[in-house]
Amino acid sequence: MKKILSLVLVLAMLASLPVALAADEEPYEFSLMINFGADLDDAGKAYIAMLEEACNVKLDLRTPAGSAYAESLQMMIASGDYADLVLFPDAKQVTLRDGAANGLYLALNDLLPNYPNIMKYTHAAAIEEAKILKDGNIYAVPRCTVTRADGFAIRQDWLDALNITIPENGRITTDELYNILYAIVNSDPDGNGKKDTYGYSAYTNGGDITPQFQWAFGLLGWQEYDGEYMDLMYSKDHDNFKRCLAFNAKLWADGLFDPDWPTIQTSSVMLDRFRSGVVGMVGRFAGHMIQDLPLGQAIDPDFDLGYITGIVEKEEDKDSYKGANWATGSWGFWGISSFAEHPEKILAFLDYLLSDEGWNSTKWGPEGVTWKMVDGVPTPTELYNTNFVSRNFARRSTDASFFVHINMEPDFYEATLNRLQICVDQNSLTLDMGYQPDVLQDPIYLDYVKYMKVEIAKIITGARPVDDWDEILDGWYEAGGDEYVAEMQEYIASQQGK
Amino acid sequence: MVTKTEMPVKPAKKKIRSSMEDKIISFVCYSVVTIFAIAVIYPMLNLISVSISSYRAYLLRPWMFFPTELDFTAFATVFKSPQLMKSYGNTIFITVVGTILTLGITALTAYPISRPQLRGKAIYMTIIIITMMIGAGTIPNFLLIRDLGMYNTIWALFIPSTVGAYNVILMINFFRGMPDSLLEAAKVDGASEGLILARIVLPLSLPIMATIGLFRAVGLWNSYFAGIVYIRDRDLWPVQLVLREVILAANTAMAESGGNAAEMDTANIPTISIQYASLLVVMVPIMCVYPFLQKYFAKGIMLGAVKG
Repeated sequence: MKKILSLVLVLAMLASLPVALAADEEPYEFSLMINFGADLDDAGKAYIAMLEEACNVKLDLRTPAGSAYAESLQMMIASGDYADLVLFPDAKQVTLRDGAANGLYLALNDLLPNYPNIMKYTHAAAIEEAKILKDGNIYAVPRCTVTRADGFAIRQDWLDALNITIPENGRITTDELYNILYAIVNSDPDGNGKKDTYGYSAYTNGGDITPQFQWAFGLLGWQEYDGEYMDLMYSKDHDNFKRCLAFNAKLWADGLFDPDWPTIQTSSVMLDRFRSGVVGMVGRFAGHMIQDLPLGQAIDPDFDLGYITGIVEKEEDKDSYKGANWATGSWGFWGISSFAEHPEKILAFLDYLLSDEGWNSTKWGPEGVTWKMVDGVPTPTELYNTNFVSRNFARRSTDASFFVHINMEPDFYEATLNRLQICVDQNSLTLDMGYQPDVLQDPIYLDYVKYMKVEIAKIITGARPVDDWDEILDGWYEAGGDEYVAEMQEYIASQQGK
Repeated sequence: MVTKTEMPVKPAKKKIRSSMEDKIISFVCYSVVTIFAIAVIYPMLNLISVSISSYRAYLLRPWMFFPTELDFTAFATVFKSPQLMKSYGNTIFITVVGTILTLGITALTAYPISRPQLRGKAIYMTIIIITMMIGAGTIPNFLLIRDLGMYNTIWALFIPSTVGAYNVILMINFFRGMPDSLLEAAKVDGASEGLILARIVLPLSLPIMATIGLFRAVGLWNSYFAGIVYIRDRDLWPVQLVLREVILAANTAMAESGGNAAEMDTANIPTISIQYASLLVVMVPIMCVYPFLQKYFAKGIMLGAVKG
């Protein structure tokens, strides 16, 4: 009897084992709020399904309207319906700061070092920036990007028609730039017998026109110069900014800028003019040039693109050219809610995106849906071009190949990768780490900054002489600029350990 | 002697000669009005033309008056978009149900207040007018909707705004303007207040109903902010919110990227043709409603200004 009872009990234990195992394998369900610009398509849905299986999670995806994401973050806080993982566009978001201060978002100092891929592929400066409350605690996981100092796309077919050659490394001087733009405007590069091509176009991003080609004049944001931290735009001891203004004013006066530039608010409009053959050169991220070719060739079959990686004042500066486009390399921050049941699983999820196992899917989308291996070569499918979900989740801070696509022609792939690597190598981070001093809340200072921007636009367009910049700068110092400089210098010194 | 009867002769028409001054004034007036008309019509023409032209034609001639290189791909893309079609259905539901609800409840609110025998009218009017003066703001409204269990439901998009104080006051004034003798005659015949409202008052109230109904329908059709505040699921979005996403995609991408090109999701920025096609698809239905209500609208628009 006892033996039978023992056997029955053992069988009962064995019967419960699958249930116990199943309980351990239960996917962890958590909510994720992110600002996708569009609804999930088939590729996006497949990618989410792939992630869920790979990470053993169940995602409750919340994708509010991208055009009202900031409002949606506020509504989320007000509603009390907190998402477990939230993407904030930047570290300055009030909702993130207040949430961190009120304990809504976890301090991750103890957890983060356990996730090697996050630590390896995140800029150290971005992790510093994630110490939002300046109390030493890391309140968010940075979503990084590959920092680059981007260059300029230019009509290669026009250059060929004008017998102009750009060096292999894409570096030219300001004089060479002037000559190129002059030729584009005055020498009929498209051969239609009309003087209807402009040199360079830009966009205002909803604001005023700003001086172009600043890096050529050594304007690299906040850096160290002779033991002092300074942004040369505000330096009274250096005339870099004046020289930049003078160059811009000359280009404008000689008709080498797109005259519609002050009214072009978005890059889409600027690119339309570039693709349609109105202008010959625009600032452009090399990885996106693949989008321009087919659209430009629909207008002009000869449409072809070259790339200028950098512009310098002097010939001898070409090899040491630097640009400064980033403070920390961050592109958003992931806040993990203190209400999340298993924050370590959320971190594991983020870590997977950057891992060797997950990286190809992050770059190219779900295997078998947007790409597949054919004889050991990753080959795109029809859905590859529409893939955007995976590419918005994460990026390795060091991998420029993220931006070259497997559907590019081999020559174009190599050329793009080469250009991107040059842009990555020539970038230097600014020292300010995105810091915003208190004086930025002062209405008098803010009013003067608005005035200053308008006056800069006037100088560029010739309505004011370049020498007026000295007077404008003096006014800026009086309106609070001296406080600005002092606060920035103090902050940078503290970050540099001085 | 036979006398000839002379046929009456019409007096010769006197030609009114306009002076040079009148001619100049007429010319100037016609010119100004024509310029304004062109300024109003041109954007619509451009919108329609670009939406049915190829992207290449747009690049070559963005200011086009008439379409070139006809291409209906943009409309095909718009109609194939499941989100746009779903949101279209949401908005049609919100507009129809919301308008009917507004007219019904506003009439039921306004009629008793318009009757002289109702006691406590001053209190009711004060309460109604206070709501015109004081608003709680977005967050308190949000908390109220959440506590009422309407958060992330389609009802949140029209129920909170069903009864507007201004509409109630308009309707009260209109009802007061009805001849008392008509209503008393009905009462004498034994009609109840409800019957009077349904069979006499409302049929005679077509101008005010059309006016309020049209304003309400247009307001509901165009609303998007409630969708941002109260809705979490994209399936419940109203069409204007979807349209806003389409039109502002470039600006959104720029803001999210912090101005850095590689971080701009340019693949998801719809082309100009798709943007314009989306605009047309959303605008046309409500524009088609207006002609049917125009004659009532013209009468009703002055109702609030004239006390009977």
